[in-house]
Amino acid sequence: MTEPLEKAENFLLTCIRKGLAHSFDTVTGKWVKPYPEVTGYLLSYFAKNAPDAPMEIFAAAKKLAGMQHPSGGFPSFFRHDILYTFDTAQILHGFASLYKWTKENRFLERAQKCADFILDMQLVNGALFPMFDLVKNAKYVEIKGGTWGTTFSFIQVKNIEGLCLLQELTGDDRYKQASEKLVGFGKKNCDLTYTHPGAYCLEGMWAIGEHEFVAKKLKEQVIGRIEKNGFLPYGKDLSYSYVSGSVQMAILLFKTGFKEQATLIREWVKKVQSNHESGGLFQYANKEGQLDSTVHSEINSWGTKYFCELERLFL
Amino acid sequence: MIRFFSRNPYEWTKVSDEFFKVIFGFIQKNMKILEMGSSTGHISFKLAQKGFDVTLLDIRRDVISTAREIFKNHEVAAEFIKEDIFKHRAKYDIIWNSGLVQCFDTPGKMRLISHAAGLSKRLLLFYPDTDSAGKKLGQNREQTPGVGDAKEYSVKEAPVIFADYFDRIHHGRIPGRKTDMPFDMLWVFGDRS
Repeated sequence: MTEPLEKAENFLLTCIRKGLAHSFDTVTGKWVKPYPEVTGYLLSYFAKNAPDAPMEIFAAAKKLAGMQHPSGGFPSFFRHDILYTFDTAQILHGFASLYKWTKENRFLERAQKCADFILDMQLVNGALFPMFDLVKNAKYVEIKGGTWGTTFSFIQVKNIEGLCLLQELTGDDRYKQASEKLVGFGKKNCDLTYTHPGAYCLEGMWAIGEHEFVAKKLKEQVIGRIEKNGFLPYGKDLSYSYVSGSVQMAILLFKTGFKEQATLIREWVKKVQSNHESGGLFQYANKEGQLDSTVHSEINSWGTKYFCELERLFL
Repeated sequence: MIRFFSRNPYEWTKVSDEFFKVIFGFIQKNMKILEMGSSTGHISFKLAQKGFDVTLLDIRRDVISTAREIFKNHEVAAEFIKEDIFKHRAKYDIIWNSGLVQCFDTPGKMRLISHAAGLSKRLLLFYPDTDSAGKKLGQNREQTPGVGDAKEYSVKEAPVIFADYFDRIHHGRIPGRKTDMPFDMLWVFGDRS
């Protein structure tokens, strides 16, 4: 294990507080935003990569299990009257990964409940209702004026990862069928204007074997945006990177054989990590890898988790 | 639970109660409300009783006459229009219907939703889950849509069509176990206000 990887993994285990992954606000020094969704990422990561089970991960799984709505869905940290499809899918992947690792049925049952919720949210055209409004007792979408988490968004294509894993574990073809419908939706709607959400879509496409689609998108729409020092702006004409988005793209580039470009981004991301003692990565960083506070000044767990995955590709 | 029955001349079922709760969640007192394909309008009657500005519209003269008579006998105010919805041009704050959209094929559904969306920024449709195991689809192509055993089609694309006309969509399910029906009812509400 490399030192950057070890430091990043330590950050991930430290950010889990009272069972949920937090971001670290570098201005206030406080742990903020207890995210169920990204806690799911950490279950997946450690289930796949840790030789011994960190206790924090099982505590997090217990916490998430206690938060699951009877319908199978999960809220986010900022609203408890809405269940989010995308968030639920990431937690699905976490529980399914824990089951694969431990063979404990309680994790599989939780994952299947998540999947029941997600499948019920899918429309005939493959799109997923992004929210369930508990007050109205109804699925809900904001077509206009919404964000990636509230519209019929291409980011939902990432949910294929969890659905495919569950299909592999259970043999239940409903999960595969839902994934295939998401592929159709993703091919029509994938948008790489911004790195982070665009990469979510490509990750789902990769998981189901759409490797040529991913490679073509990277070649045509991402590689040309990488600067000489590995800096990849969040979007066109932006002076900062959404670090997670850059790392996600680096992982996809590595997997599709664009290793030179992946290496370039990796070197820039290592600079970002070196700019804070915690081992975690700023959510936003400038070209030199320093904190960019245009949006906020936080270090988050998901970008750090992706960095760990990237480092492991280079071991 | 059956409520208001003594003051309501219509049969008030568990389905009526569930529909009423959904409608009530989307309306306000100052809104002009149209029930299109109203039949005799038992839910509109209750809304009008509660002081809402209600209009009933149906292509069938007999059901509109019956509705007018019942409302008049109970001194409940509303407007009554005997007209084909596709020829109707007045504007409303919200339009709702139960049991019509499933009686149109896909182009027909698009025409219905498009037309209604042109009359109102808010549209609420109730319809049976045509894919429920317990749902027997109507087969009569000669029957007026929404009446008796009129031919019915899959409703899967209804929320997708709504996405072309509205900024926000809610989509709900009323389980058959709540209404003592052998199939679930669905509803979709679109809003671009």
